[in-house]
Amino acid sequence: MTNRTVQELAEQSYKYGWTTEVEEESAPPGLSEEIVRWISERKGEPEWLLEWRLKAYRHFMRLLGDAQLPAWANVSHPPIDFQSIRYYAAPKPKLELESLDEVDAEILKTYERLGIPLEEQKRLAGVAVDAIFDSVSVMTTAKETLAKYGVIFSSVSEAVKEHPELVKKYLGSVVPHSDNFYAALNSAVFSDGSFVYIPPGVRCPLELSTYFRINAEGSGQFERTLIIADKGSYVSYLEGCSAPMRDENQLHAAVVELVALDDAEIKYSTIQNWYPGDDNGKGGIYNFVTKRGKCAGDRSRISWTQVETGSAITWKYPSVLLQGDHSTGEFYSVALAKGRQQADTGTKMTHIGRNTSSRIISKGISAGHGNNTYRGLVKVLPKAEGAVNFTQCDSLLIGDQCGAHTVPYIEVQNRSASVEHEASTTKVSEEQLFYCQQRGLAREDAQSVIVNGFVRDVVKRLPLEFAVEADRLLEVNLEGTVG
Amino acid sequence: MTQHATAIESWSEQFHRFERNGAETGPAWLRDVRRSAFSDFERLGFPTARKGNEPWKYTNVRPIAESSFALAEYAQAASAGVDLHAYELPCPRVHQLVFVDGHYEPGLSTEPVSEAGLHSDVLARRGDGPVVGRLADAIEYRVPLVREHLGRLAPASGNGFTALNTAFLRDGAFVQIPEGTFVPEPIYLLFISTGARTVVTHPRVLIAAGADSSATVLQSFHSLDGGTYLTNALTEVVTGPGASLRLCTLQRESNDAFHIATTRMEQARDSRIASVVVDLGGRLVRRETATLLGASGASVNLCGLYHGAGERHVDNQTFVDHAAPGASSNEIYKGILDGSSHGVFSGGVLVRPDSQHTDAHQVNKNLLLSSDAEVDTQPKLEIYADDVTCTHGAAVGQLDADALFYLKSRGIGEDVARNLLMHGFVSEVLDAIEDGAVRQHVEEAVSGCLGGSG
Repeated sequence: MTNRTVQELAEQSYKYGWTTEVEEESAPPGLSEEIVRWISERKGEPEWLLEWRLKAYRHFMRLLGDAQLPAWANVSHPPIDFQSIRYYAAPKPKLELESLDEVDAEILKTYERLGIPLEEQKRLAGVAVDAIFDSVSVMTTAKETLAKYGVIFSSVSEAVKEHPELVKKYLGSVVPHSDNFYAALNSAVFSDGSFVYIPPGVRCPLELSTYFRINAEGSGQFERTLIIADKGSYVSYLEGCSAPMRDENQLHAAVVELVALDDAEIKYSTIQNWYPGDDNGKGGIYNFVTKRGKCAGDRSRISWTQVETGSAITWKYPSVLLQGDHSTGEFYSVALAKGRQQADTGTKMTHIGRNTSSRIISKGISAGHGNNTYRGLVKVLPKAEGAVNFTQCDSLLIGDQCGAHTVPYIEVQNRSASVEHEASTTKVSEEQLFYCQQRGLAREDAQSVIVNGFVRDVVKRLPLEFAVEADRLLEVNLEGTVG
Repeated sequence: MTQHATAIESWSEQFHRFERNGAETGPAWLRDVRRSAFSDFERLGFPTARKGNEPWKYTNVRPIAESSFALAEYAQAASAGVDLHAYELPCPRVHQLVFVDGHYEPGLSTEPVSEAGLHSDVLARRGDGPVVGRLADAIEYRVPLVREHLGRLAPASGNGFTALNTAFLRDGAFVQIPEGTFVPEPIYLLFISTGARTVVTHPRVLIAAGADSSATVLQSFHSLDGGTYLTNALTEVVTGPGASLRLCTLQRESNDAFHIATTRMEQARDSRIASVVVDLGGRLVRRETATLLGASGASVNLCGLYHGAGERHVDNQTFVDHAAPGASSNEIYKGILDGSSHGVFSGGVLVRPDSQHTDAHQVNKNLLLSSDAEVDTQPKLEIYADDVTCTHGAAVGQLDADALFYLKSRGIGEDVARNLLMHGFVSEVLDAIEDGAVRQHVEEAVSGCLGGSG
């Protein structure tokens, strides 16, 4: 690969890099007990939630004091100053919104530019969207349709007020505040997020979707998503993200918790396209996210699909606890690291119940100076009779300055388990490129075709609209990388 | 922590006694090496499985840190009762060195060592056959290779165990294959523990294969009797351009013994190492095998077999450093875990920037035979070059029920059928032993082991 193409790749423009002029209300920078109380008060939270936040805050400060930051990931960044971040930013004025018409026109424009069909909701009703702007949820669409089926789809803050019993029961039940450093931080300062509850036996009629947008300068985003699929229900949930181009590194530390009861199925898809920073690695989002699902019921099923193309650093391990008998966990991932991006991502499958199965397909693409690490754990506990796991991790290297790493952990404590892991690392082969070229494809198109084939197993799991977007994103991101 | 401190204290006492008792006979440079190694140990202590110490995540060496071990005194009579018959290789001629509780046994060894045989002038000559002798002699006669390589590949500062081995360095085996020499018969290094309780040995081996030479070296660790003792072995291997070296290690320590083994290899252009390690004994076994492929065309084949029974904990760590373009590595490690044993495998492959045209493959397969057995496997790939082909695979499972059924339907009893399948499973590793006599010897040891547990 020539220097010219490396440069082109690195200069690939980030098309979501603009900011929105909207008056914001925000907390002063810094983290203290007062800030936590301030956020909680701001949101009119009940006492138990404030206590819950404070417990997390104290745990976080203890970890910070002992310098117990997670250092095991294959990423490097300057130390984060947790006192310089603004933990809360919200568009002003924060009103109780009754309909789309009441949303700030600037914000609506933002989502329009991002291609989110908020306005079209009423007519098309194809996707129900919860849009999170900085710290708060601006609106949740298609609520009425969902209400007819008894589906609750709202912001977490709203759910705290309207369905406290559900929130209280499940919040922190999958990712406790003491789970890890960033989960503790999130639990203390989380501002908003989506809340979904699917009642027993309901197949959610719409694809639910959340769009996350970081807009304010110097702020972090700490959202928390909680999805509960009651017995025999099904839901497909999509998540997309973007942020303006800035020179500073912004922190995104989210927590996502999924709970699937007996016979329930949750399909969670992410297209992550946070601002990755410029070609020198300046700016960009630190995406430190804890995502975990619990197959609490028998025959339940949780599937994670992610396409990770953005962020300066991605640190993310969507996991599944396979607690119910015959439950299934799946993880399909495409991670792209180009420019100076660093991605350390993978999954944890913990087999607890009997006859559980899990499947992991991870496709890493490294280009430019990017470093891509798959880090995964497959753990079979002593009581997990008949556990089955299949893991495949493939890495594709484009350019000689990038890195691809695979670090799987396999821990088996039950002899009836069958665990298989396969991994390979290669570059786009000259033979394949030559074959396509002699069929009349330009070299660049040929590479695109090959990359598309490489990620096919994952992309085909995405809902249709997302699949198209994922293909396009990969294509745009890999323009000019041909060797 | 206090227990840890007392452990270091007792090692310290021992070190000073060791220095007084005869270590002063060595040259000054060696005394310095030992002292600096011991201060490394005092600084490092034994590795702990504390958070963040990834290489020791699954292996807890506290039982070693909490026991006190003593160096064995040299006893003339120790070898008298040793019946070597069971350890003999099935071939007419071998180069054999025997150590009993860490002390060289001239009576059992086949290689009479003369000063002339070790002298540096003689060594340089082509076609003289291998030098297989005591490391102590090689040090005394100032063989230049010793000064050059000893402690270079496996620095004492690596971890507490390498530091201890170097601190107590006095003797061991020195093998040198002169340039262009082909050694047809196996070189056999036999380390026997009499099973006297709480003895520690620090076997040290240095193998230097000259350019275009070829040889087979078998290292074998045995115990005559049960007993809790510690073997802390360290082997350094360096190959010249075009050399071909076949290394085999057979470990049959007592079921209460601790076995720590570190092997560090460095390979020159177009050299080839085929290594097979077989772990059949020990209570706690930790084996690190690492090679540096420092020049193009170098290739390494690492194979391993570990059998876990009873309470055994067996941990294999391999590391292949592709530091030059056009080198290749291949790894196959297989484990059979029975009883409440615990198997660990961690295989690292690093492809450094510009190491293009690297070919690296790695497989780890495990059979879990008992519900109390556990296996943790971690194949790691770290790749910084793009024109490479790297794969790894890991699998954990039990004997194939269909295959078992097939054999039974052909009139083969369950026990025999299971044994057949297990032998099939391990044969991929054992077949990698190229020397016929060594392979036969190791196969017999493995059969004895699997037969008993099948």
